[in-house]
Order: sequence, then C-alpha cells, then structure tokens
Amino acid sequence: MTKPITAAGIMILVDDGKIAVDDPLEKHLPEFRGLMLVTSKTKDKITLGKPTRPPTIRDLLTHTSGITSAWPAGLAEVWSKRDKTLAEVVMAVSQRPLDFEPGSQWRYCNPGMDTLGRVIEVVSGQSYEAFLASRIFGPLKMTDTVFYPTPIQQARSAKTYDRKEGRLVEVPFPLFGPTDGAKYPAPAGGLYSTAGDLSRFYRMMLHRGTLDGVRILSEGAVAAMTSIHTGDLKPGFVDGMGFGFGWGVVREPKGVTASLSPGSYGHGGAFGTQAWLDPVRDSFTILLIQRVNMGNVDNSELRRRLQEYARARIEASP
Amino acid sequence: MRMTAWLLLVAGVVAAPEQPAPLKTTLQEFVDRGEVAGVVAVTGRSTGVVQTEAVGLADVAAGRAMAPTRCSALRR
Repeated sequence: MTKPITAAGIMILVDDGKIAVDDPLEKHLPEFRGLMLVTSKTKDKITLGKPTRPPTIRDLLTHTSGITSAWPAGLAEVWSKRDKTLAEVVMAVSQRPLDFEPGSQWRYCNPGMDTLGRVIEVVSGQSYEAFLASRIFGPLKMTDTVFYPTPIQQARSAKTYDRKEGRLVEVPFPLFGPTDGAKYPAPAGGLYSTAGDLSRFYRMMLHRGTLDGVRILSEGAVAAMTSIHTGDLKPGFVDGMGFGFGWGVVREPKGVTASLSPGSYGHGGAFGTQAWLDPVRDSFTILLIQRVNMGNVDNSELRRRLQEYARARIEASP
Repeated sequence: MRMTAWLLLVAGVVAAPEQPAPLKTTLQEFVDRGEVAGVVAVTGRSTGVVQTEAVGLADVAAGRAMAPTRCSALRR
C-alpha cells in the first residue's frame, strides 16, 4: 500500500511539468543508460542483447519495465539491514540486465518501484521521504504516515504475528529491519500509517485529487493512475485485474472482487493489509492487520467479507 | 415522544431486511479463530468515514488492545 503513494509522488511531478510518463527512465537516471536484455539463460551462461526500447516511467508505474524483480546478490538483505541509501540501491539495480522486453510482460517489481522513489529525489531535489511529506502527508494532515516512526509512534504500532502450530507467534521485524538508524526508506513498501490517515488519502483519490480544498493531484493524474494501462496482459494477484499507475484496477469483478464495481482500484500489503476504492459507488474499505504467511493476501476471506459488508452498509446508508 | 418512537419504528422496518451482520462480529470471528491478533477496518465515502471498528489485540504479550490509532506497516 506504499506503492500507490510512491506513484502519486511521480504523478505530482507530472502535474508540475517535470516528468512525462513516457519519458525513458534513463532521461532522469542516467545510470540506466545502455541497459541490456537477457535473451537466454542457462546454469552457466547468460546471453545479452539490446532491448527494442528502453524502459519508461510508465513501464515502472505498471510493473512492466523488465527490470529484474530480484535484488542483486550483494543487496539481498537490503530490506532487513536498511544500511544503504536509496541512491546506492538504485545504482546497483541499474547495472543489471532486463528480464524481458519493456512492456511485454507484467511482473510485480519491488526494485522498479524503489527506482521511482529515486526518480522523485533526482527530479524534485528533495529526499524521497521529504518530498512525500511536503506534497502529500503534510497537506492532507496525515501526521502518522511515516517511513521512520518516532518512539511514540513505535509504541503505538501493532505487533506482527505468524501462525505456528495453531498459535499466533510474534515475529519482530519480519521482511524489513528496524527503522532506528535506517538509511533506506523503501518506496516499494516502507510506510507506516493509521486508519485515519489512510482514509484521508483515499478520500482525496475519490474526490479526484482534492480534499478539504487542498489539491494534491490533478483530475487528469487521478484518471491516469486509476485507468488500466496493461492491455491484454494478466496482471495482479487475483483474476479479472488490470494495472494502473501504482494501483491494481478491477477489470472484471469476480471472486474476491465480486462486490466491487469495474474500475475499482486498490492495493494490498505483505502483512495482509488491504485498501480498495470503488469510484462508481463512492466508497472505500481499509483492512489493517499485521500477519505474515497468510498465503495470497489479495485473495483473503477477511478482505472479501469486509468488502461485502461495506457494499451493503454503503448502499443502506443515505 | 410517541411520535419519535413511531418514526424510529418505521425507519427500523424499512432498513432491517438489508442490514448485514455487524462488522465487529465478522472481524471478531477471525480473531477468535486465531488467524489474526487484531484488526482495524474502515468503510467510507469521499465525504468521510462511515464506520471504523477495531477488535482484538495490537500486542498479545502486553495485552494492549487494537485501536484505530495504532500504526501499521504497509509492506508492499
């Protein structure tokens, strides 16, 4: 659920006229110039060729860039250690060949989303965290939405649990390491937030870019973010989905999305969190839990039951 | 007073058949099953939050209740 907010940061820079979504990535991050493509791979040999075109900002926003979704071997612990800066991590990502031709496949890509965070830094001249704080969290009064929680916010945080032998067991810092002393914000998944703060961000989206008289995104940017840009590809983690800029978009409601309208959009999180917005019914749901190893959390029974409840509740209310 | 009661009764008759199970009951089911320690759930519209519910615990060992103000990690 951090990714749609990173995408919103990019679209703010589009609104500012500093980026176009069809810009080649290398225009803003020159370390990506001359990217090569893996054309064949065996256990002992990799063959590289030149891609037909370089990846664009649009490709990164839709997880179709071809940038490899695996971290470089030497950075395998980048999330748990958090000891590298965003610039250092993205520099390493830039030196790896593409896995597929840009635009030809959908493959969920955390390094790609982190790369967009670095684009925000280079284009805005601010750190990624400072840019989002000044252009989104501050104006929307999202005071508990941070990458590095204060001691007070840490004390208010929910613990994360796994389920082992039928019992819940606390897991300290799964996936991401402690934030104290961390250098790395993780634009692909590093945010902490609350139900109240997230409600304000999603209300801004349903209001097509504004909340309480403050404009965060243009109407055109919201429309672009929440439209399907993945053509005939089959993106997402459940059937019937397309992908927008940072958001999954419901193409054909079915299964867990059956209670949502076509065009609904949202995102999940690795600890089971979910948020889905239905612009046709003018409604949203937020589910905040902190559980690891739940399987496909985008297809969870808890998500389905909440959405079904919300549809009935919203339809019954004036 | 009688008029108020009558109006409430009429409103109840109109709304009752469409009401789903209470959200809190649904969320508590998942806590009781031991699938999650605690849950915060929100439904809303562009105009504001319609309903917020928090059930279960944010910290089992400390016995701290889940609450809408709890910070959660948004991994991904």
